[in-house]
Amino acid sequence: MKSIGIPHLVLGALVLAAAAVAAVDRYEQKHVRPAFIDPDDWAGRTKLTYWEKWSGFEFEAIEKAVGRYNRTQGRRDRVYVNLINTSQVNVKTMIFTAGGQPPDLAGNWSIYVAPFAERGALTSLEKFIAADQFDLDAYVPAYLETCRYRDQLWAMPTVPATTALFYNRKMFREIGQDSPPRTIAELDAIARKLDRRDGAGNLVRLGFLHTEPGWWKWSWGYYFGGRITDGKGKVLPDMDPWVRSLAWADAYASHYGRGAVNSVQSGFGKFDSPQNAFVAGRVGMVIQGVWMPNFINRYNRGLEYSVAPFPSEKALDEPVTQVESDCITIPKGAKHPEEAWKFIKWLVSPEGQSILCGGQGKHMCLKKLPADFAKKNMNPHVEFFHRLGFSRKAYIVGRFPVLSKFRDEMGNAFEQVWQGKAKPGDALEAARAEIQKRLDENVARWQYVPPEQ
Amino acid sequence: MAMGGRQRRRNMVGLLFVSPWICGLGLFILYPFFASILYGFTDYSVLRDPEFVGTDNYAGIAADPIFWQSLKVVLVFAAFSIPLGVVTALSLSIMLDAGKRGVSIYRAIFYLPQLVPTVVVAILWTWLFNAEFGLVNHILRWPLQTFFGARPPGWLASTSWALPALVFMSMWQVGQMTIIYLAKIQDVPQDLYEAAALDGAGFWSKTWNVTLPQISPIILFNVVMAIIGCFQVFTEPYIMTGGGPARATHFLSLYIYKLAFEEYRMGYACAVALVLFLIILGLTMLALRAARGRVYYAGEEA
Amino acid sequence: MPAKKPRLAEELRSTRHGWLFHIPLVLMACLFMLPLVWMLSISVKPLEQTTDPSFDPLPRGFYVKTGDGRLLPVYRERRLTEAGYLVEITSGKSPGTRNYVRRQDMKGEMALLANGQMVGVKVVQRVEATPENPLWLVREWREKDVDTKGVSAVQGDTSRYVAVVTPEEITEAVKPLWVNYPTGLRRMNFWGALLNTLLVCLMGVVGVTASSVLVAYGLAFIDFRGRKALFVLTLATMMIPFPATMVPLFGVFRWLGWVGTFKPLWVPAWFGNAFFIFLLRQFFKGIPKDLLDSARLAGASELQILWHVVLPLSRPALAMVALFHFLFCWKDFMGPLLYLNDKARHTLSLALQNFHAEQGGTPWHLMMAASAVFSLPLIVLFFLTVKTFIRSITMTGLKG
Repeated sequence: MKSIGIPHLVLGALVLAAAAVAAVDRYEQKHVRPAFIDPDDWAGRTKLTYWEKWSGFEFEAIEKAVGRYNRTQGRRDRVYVNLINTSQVNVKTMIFTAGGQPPDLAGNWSIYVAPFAERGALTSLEKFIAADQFDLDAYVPAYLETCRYRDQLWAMPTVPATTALFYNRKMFREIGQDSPPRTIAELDAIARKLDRRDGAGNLVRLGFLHTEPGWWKWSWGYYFGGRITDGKGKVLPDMDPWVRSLAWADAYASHYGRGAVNSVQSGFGKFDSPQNAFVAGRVGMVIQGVWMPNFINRYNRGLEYSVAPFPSEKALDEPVTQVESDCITIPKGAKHPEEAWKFIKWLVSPEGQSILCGGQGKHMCLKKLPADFAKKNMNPHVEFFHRLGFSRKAYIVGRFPVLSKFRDEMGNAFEQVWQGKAKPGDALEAARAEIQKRLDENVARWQYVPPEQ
Repeated sequence: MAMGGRQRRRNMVGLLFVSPWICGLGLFILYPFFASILYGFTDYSVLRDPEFVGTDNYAGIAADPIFWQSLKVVLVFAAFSIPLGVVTALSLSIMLDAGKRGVSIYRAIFYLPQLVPTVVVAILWTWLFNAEFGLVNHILRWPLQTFFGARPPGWLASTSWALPALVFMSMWQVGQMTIIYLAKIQDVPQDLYEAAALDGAGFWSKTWNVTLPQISPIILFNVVMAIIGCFQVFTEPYIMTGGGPARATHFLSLYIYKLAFEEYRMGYACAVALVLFLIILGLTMLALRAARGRVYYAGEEA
Repeated sequence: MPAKKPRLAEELRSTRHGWLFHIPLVLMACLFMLPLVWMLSISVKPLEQTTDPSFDPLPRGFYVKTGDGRLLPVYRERRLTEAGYLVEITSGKSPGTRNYVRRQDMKGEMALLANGQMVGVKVVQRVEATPENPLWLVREWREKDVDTKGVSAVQGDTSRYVAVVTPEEITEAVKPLWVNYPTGLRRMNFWGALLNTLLVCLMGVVGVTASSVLVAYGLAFIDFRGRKALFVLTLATMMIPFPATMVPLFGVFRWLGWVGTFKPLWVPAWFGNAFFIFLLRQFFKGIPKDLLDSARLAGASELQILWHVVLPLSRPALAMVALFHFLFCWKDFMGPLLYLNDKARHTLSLALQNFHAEQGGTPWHLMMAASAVFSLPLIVLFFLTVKTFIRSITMTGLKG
């Protein structure tokens, strides 16, 4: 038997390893393909990578939009956009940008535009806008604000979102209420009348529930006239409205019974399901966004509901609503920023918006909706949500670099109050202290005091 | 001279054999570990180069309520799940041994939950702990109502019951330890039992005075590994609660992940990670010291 | 004598009443199995039965005999307790569909639907339901409804059979919905993820076995300088929790350009693993030295000894390493979470978690079906290799 020496084995192992790595790489290239690839179509064109979030029909909408672009203008410009459905797109984009391998286009949420921009992760769009004399006036100012930082535009909003009150018309009729509430007090009165318990005292129906869907636990103070910063670096400059808002929530939790409400809440299905509390008629009024009618349509077309601006403590001439957006960014260090900008321009044009926002059943970022957009839209209330975006009392989700921290801490404060673990004033003080600390660090580091909002 | 040459050759051969590990150790473990320690003294927000800030991060940790809450969560979890797990596994193994029959069937049943992927465990138990439709509350509802007049707890939706839910869930996965304990019990030499029997010891006495001390080394090993494991629990809270409600299940490992990958405060994350490591080290030392009088090594080479 | 010893010890430490322990054992076994049994039970139910407060463990199908004698599977859409009409809509958005309207909502030829629309209708049947004598509005059920995202898709389908029937006309049967399985697997992109997972697992297993064996051999049998120190260092690194190295390790992979590929998940395995090296070394130490010495005297090189002497004797230990690493890779979630982003590259753990997180409203029946299939391979592996498995587990307790 020929003796196998160490050198042979080492060589053999290295060859084997190299072969294995090569094989795995080949496999990855050939078989593990990103979504939406059309190999015949992209020969000879500049390829842009576009990381985007969403799933289901919302992702199909962006797929259609990108497909249309690739077949039309992209083909003319010899550009091909490769759409990749990415989970945790904000995290992945930041990491890859830091590693010097960013995609050319990255979808994001407006709340992250300011922190990304301040860290230098984004390419400012200002020079592109100036060079092309791009007409920003065609867009609803609020949505543009969600993507601003230091008065520069760092992203373009692609799909807007506003929020409002959804109420069950059938339940309203039963209690003889024919119009939606205009103040918080009216909301409370209606909610109490809508509550129902069964024989054993269990909650069967709730008039209104703050934690349904519970995505905006941090912003109730706005409806009481509060602000989150005064433009001079102070967080929660006026505590009173915020304390009142949490006290309001607290009152509901203790009225329903904290244990009971926890229990009932977990029985609600998730948002995108027939067991959605509002869809299933378990809750009579709910705060929700522009996408809601699509989900109601999907799960319970027979639901008799309507929409109205969410009431504030005092009746206001213009409603308070949340304004945020899904946006598109050009990460810093992207290889083809010029071509990326061209795509962005198309995506926010009436044509692109029709396909994307229409496909997702939402309104547009443009000031003017095309003639038959509302009629053809699966969402019967797009015009209402579109109008909300013009409200001067709307609050912006964006523009504030430590907004994530604010959201986190205020959410925690809300939960503590809701579970009866702390009083509104104390919870808010604790939250304010933490957020203030973070804002101070942020201001010291980046020398920018966020504007009042 | 020949000896020196042979020793040199042996050194070379030896090093060659362990070379993959030396590379791996260096690149994937030691470098990151020491880099982590160094980053702990910087402000590193991914896109900019790390800036040295001295002990600011550590001062920040001391004043950080989220850190203390996360630490509390992990310590409470460890304090309950480790003893409960050990007791459960021990009881099962002792009963299995005494029961004699059907050991392989029971073993398979108790081990099965550990073959279920962690993600599945998390999703399945999220459903089981659902306060309204979950199986756990369905079982508890009637006895709680009739004997205590109480409602079943809100589990993952309640700040008081979310962590107990996770502790309870961890007890489902004691199969591996049970098997190991059982094997060790079966290894205990018979002369010890003979001696005990001569002293008139009954079953419980034999179990307490002979079996348990004999398997105490493996129990200690289990406890130490469990301490390290508790501090690395990530998947279950991440999927089931995201750390809530009101940070009731905000494990320290979850906090480090969020700091690094959601808030991009890598320097601070590394500082917290180092503190985590030191705490594990401390607890392990404590466990070893506490075990000194109690763990009996029957002359084995440790 | 040795064969007799364990039995004697067993007898000595047990008790006459050992059989009594089977009572708590059976109880615990049932409790342990309950979650898995429940998972299977939900996996074959239709969606509306997964949140059924009555906790029926069996999936039910409902059937109604149609006019021409066919037995049709149906949904029980609504329980009717008041008088009304089964109507066919003749105008508006969805003509041709059938629905129920209450008597007070009928206005001649028009009816007020639940969504507030006033539409033209044609009465098909009068409904005389009362709380004491309730009736059911049933709609035909089709297999593709398993993946239907809502009632409205069903309601809008004019080809479906719709009727108002008495409870007695509905027959019930146990009907497991096996179609949940292919549907659930399709929704979580199972096959793609399976391929990815297998790739990572197999590459990892081969790598970790090969490298750990080499290193453990070196540590066990070759007396080189620094051996003790390296071994102690190896043990020490087992104490380092993953979060302590997570951040710079990510940086290492990023510098190598591996983030977004599978490489961070299997390449480190090719360099060894502290736990397996430790276990293998302990195992190797148990091999009688004379075998090795005689081979050395015969002039064999270390590699030859490893290949011809040690490895054949170490099959159980190798099996253990392979088995445990395979288990770890299969179940791994945090690794894929950190290093994979493109959904086409997701492994099974990440794909299932994505399915769970993105669905918003969780179709539990599909989730449980997907989970069951995801868990199956490991369980099958266990039962196929039971002896090896158990031996491997007990080996980890060796010389703890």
